[in-house]
Amino acid sequence: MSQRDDHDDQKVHSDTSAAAQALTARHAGRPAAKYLRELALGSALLLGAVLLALRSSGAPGTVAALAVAVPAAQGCDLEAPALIDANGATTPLPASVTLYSNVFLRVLACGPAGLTVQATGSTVEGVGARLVVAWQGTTLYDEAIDGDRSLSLQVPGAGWVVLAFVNDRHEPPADRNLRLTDITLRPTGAP
Amino acid sequence: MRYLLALVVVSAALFAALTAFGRSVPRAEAPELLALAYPTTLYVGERAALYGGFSVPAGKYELGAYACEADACRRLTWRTIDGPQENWGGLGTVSFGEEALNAHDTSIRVKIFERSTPYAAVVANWSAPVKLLPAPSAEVAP
Repeated sequence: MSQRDDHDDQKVHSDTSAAAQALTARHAGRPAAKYLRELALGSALLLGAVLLALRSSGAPGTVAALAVAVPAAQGCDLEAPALIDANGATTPLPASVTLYSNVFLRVLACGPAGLTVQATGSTVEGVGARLVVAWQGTTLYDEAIDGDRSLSLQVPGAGWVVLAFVNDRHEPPADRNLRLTDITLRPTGAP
Repeated sequence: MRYLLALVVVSAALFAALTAFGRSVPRAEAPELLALAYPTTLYVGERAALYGGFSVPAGKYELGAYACEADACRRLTWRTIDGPQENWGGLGTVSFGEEALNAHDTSIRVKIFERSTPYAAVVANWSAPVKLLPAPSAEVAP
């Protein structure tokens, strides 16, 4: 510890002693109620300042639930919704695609909408082609498709809708693929 | 009275110090989920990909996806994200073995960590159960 620190410590000690003496004298010379009132008022002030400062500083490290984002209105196209692939290429709806490997497609819904898809999947080792349709954090459809399926799903509101083929497998001569045809997204109005 | 004055001065100093500390800590908004596609059911041995889109505010983040059996998790993917941006892509491939049928608590989890903080705080945390089914017979397979 430096001499300055020592000096500061002594000064602090000295100040503290003086304050203690003053308090003792004051306490002795004044009614206890007044002393307690000052003490309570000061403590409340200190506590208030600490709480206010903590509130304004936020709480780094707080674990938050993953919030769900609603897309900006300018990203929506009610007249011509488009399917976007993983590379960002767009295809206007209605669209048809054949998926030969795991991949996801997405389309932005401007509000509540009806999504229709004709899906055809092939099977490897008894398991069909798994199609997952998700809206935000909600799964609207999840099935391993063997053969043909006609899907009609309700999208609850604005947000990204993802159509994903997730379990591609190739065991020659068997090949698990997924064909999606007549994909449409039509607004259904307010819920 | 002097005691009260001293308390006021100390309070003001403490308030100023804590406020300055608060401003020095990055206060990013939380990342937001745009969409997440994952299998809600899965056959034993079936491998399925996860896909997701996230909107992250300004800052540096790391994203991890995990497959969990009870509280034992294995990492499926890990990547860094520099915000602000919308980040779309694969989150790895999940599969569970026969032994997981008895775990009765299989799930996938996605976490986003903030790299700007020295302790890589978790700023987003999402978890969903995955129902595991016995593998179907291969009678359909050629």
